[in-house]
Amino acid sequence: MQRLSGWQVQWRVVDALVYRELRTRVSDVKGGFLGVLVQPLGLVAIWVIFLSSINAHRGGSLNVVLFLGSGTVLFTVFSQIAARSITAMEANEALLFYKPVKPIDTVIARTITETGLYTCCLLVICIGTWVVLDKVYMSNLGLFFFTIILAACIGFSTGLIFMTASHLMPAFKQAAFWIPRILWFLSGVPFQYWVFPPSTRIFFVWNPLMHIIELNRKSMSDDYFTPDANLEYAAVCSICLLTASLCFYYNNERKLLTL
Amino acid sequence: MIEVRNLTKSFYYQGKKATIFKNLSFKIHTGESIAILGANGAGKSTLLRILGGIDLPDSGTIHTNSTISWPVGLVGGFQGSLTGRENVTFVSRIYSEKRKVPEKVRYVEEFAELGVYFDRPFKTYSSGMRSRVTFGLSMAFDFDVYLIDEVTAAGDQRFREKSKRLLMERKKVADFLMVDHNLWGLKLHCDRAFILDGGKIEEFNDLDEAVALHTERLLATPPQRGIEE
Repeated sequence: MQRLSGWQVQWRVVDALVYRELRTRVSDVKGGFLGVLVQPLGLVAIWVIFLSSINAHRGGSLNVVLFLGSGTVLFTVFSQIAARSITAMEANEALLFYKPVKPIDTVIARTITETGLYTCCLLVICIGTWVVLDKVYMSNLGLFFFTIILAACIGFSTGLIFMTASHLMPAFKQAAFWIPRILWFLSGVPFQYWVFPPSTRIFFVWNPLMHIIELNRKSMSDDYFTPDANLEYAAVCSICLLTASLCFYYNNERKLLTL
Repeated sequence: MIEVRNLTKSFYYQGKKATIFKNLSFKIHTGESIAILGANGAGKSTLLRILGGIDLPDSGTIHTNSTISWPVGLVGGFQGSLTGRENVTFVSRIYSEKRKVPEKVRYVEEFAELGVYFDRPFKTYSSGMRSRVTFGLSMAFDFDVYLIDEVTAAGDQRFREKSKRLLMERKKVADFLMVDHNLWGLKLHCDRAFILDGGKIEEFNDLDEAVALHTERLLATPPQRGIEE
């Protein structure tokens, strides 16, 4: 049998786990890959319709569908990765039978799968809106994709912490499901945070997800007004959270494999 | 070559620690196949799981320059919701190049002879069907050392004959570490033996002597399972 480097093994394991994630999703729905795409797209559509109907949006110069679609998709990237990572190890427990597969790989695979699916959803929403309005809303394509990567990075880090903590303290699992729900309000998904009194800003500006979502909206429309959004802050928070989650995981990996 | 030094493994249950084995040390040279003998619960499968990398020891080291299989015969590595084909594809993607994946899947499909069941969820398989896929998958890859756990006891007569032939063929190019209560099967494939008893290991160069002693001990006294602390 051919000997491989650590990176080659890592690549093969993640590739196989992404395949397994997609196969599970595909076998759960009809219509193959399109069926898989319809599921998150439906989720996004429901949120957009609901939030539009209660007039929750404050989209400014940005089209309302793009405003809500951007917030919903980016937050869902984060929350789905974080929430699904809690159960990632249990769901893939049988596959940890193979020596090269480690618990962190299950979270990496879920991050790639969810990010890929929801990025496709956001692109479908964007293209659909451009076609209907006969106008292209996109001023900074690099920022658009970078913010998605940052949301995925925060989702991965949170998911890794959730998975490790839930395994060490099963009671944490219940609390972990509530954290994304609380963050939903603090991320400015259905509204712009600055319409609230200035004294409430402190509840929003600490949250890197709020910065990421606002910057994603700004990447679609240059004149989109967002006073506090800061790319450096969002990137530094993502890197710090990633580092902390990796340290937490590596210090407890042995316990995850032997408990 | 596999060199094990001071391997200790214990489990906790309801606050009580039970040591399965303590400070095991042994060396297996390339070209020799070993039978691991011991009563139920002596720690044979645990030792194979540790050598296969599925479980971790409390302490001790394992040095090897060989590729070691997962324990052949254990059906733990399959996701119930995926079909046999999908499970085999998953493992093949890890252990072989992408372009060789269809070849591996075909090999297992032909070996397992499950027909349409190969495309049905693994959780719907009977134990015999599971054994066929598990064994076929293990043999689809060329490991230097195969960890074989009770494989000759599974499946119907046709499967057992087929597995026996395949093991004989593979024995020409690979080594085995075998756990089996079918002592005849061990004699067929192994050169030396270890007896795992009371958390300690005894090495025997003469397989017949080891089998005779193991049988005598089994019949004479109740087995000692681990060391409770």
